[in-house]
Amino acid sequence: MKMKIVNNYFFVVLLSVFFMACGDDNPATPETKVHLKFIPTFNGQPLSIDSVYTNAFGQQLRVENIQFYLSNIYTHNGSDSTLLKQAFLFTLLEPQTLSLNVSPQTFSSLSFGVGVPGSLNKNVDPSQYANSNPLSVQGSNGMFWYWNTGYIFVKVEGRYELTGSPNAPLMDSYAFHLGDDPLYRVLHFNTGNVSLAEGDSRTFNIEVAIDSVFNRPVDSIDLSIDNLTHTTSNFPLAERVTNNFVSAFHLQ
Amino acid sequence: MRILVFFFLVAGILFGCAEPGLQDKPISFKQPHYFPPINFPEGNEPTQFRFELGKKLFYEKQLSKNEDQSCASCHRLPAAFTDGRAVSSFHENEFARNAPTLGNLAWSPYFMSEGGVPTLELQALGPIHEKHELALNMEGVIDRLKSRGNYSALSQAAYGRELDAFVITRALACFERALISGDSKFDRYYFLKSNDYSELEKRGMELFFSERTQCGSCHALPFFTDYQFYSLGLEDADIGLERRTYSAADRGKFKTPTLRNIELTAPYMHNGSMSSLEEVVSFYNNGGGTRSTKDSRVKALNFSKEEEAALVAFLKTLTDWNFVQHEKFLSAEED
Repeated sequence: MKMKIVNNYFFVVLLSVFFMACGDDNPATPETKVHLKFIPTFNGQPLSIDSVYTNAFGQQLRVENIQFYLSNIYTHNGSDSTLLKQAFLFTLLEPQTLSLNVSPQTFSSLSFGVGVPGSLNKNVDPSQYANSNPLSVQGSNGMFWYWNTGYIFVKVEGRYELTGSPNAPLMDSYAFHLGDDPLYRVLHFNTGNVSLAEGDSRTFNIEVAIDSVFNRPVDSIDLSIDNLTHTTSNFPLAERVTNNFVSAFHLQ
Repeated sequence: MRILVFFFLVAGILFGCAEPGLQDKPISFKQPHYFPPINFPEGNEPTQFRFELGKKLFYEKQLSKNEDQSCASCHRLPAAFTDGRAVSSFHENEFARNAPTLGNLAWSPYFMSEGGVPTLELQALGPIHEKHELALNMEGVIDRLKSRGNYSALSQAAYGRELDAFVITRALACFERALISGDSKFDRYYFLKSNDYSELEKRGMELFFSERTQCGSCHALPFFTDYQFYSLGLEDADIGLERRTYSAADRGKFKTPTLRNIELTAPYMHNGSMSSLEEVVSFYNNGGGTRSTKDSRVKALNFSKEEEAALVAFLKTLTDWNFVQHEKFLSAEED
């Protein structure tokens, strides 16, 4: 009888080992986090897909879609750099926050690429990634070119109207699909000295001033001429819009 | 009794994910000795179920948005995996092109007329997503297929994982690599020393490989392509390689197409603008087109009528009738 009881206990313990072997035995440790909050604006106000804006040429436009990859997000402390995230795909019609678990650290600047770096772009097979990865076939959500393989770094799409008449419907479409290795851009931001101990978190607000895509002192986009590029179909325009787009990022 | 329960419980935990029944095995593709060895990509060496799954997908109309088109709609075996149409898009667009033959893809260093796709696995993603072709997406394909037929079981047996983009691209590539064509009348005469070759065909072959025509410098043995990009001077809206390189010097350049099975793949050129081999030979004889990027080797050749006929006769010896009638490449419905 005693032997049977021992056997029963042994049986239960053995099963418990099987069922709970993958459990997390570590007590919860406070997470250290960096939050990057991206805030889309137009002329200093929150971007609205319902709003009609006017560009430098008096043309009316609406913004209907903004998607872009951020990649190689780093913090920097002198010559030391820490990778926080390899790639992330944003749809940015309203503020979005990217929350990153980090190790306790001190840094004075952060950087990220707009687009996908060459090592992850050309000759890379997106079907190798799990669906949850933004670089995967499904995770890329239409941001991959299949005829000339590589990621679409940035999409800005919407409608426009040229007469400037206040009640005119915005019937025509513009689309800027920007990609290819020469258009990859890396942005650096000074953060001041930031020291994160275990359990600390810090939020950085980054304004993305979408009006810069259309209106820049150095290069405004005349939608009557320049309203479509899939990069290869009009590389000079793609380069101009890329330069305008990356100028839109401001650390507040 | 308790020991038995314990045994089955542990066995269930350890083997719960195994797919019963299907046991895969490596296969080899029969190829002529005058073709170089195939370098199979790591992880996609051919097996019975990889080939079977790829063939099933190739003929699967669920890959298209409207469930009415498959890869085989534009790549039909009797036409050496072309479709007889000038261009193969289901909708008008400036980049609609003539469907390429699929023979001997295992040796192609890149794909598409601009060479912008580095592997056969990656190429499989294009037509599924392209709005002018199958016009669906990978998520839609997987949703449709995962509970359909024996796709899940084949996927597990072939690649040891659920049906996903990885499996679909690799299986399609595995099937397409099996499409080997090297048993034409020309092959038997040139490589295997058969005597079955007419005087007209021999004259055409001599012309084809001569310094005078230089046809064989681009349409090089053994695949009748050098995989490089040239312009024949054709003028149309399709800018060809320039679309990828942004260089005006590449305007109108396209990858050299293979000439194997050329008799069966009319109409010809990237835009399907020439309906017969006679018209193609006449085009070369007259010095090609007028675009400024035209290759210097494309120039007036002053063929006689007999020479034109000889070249056409030679080109018709490149047909591999065993390839285009091979039931291994047909779907179960068409066997």
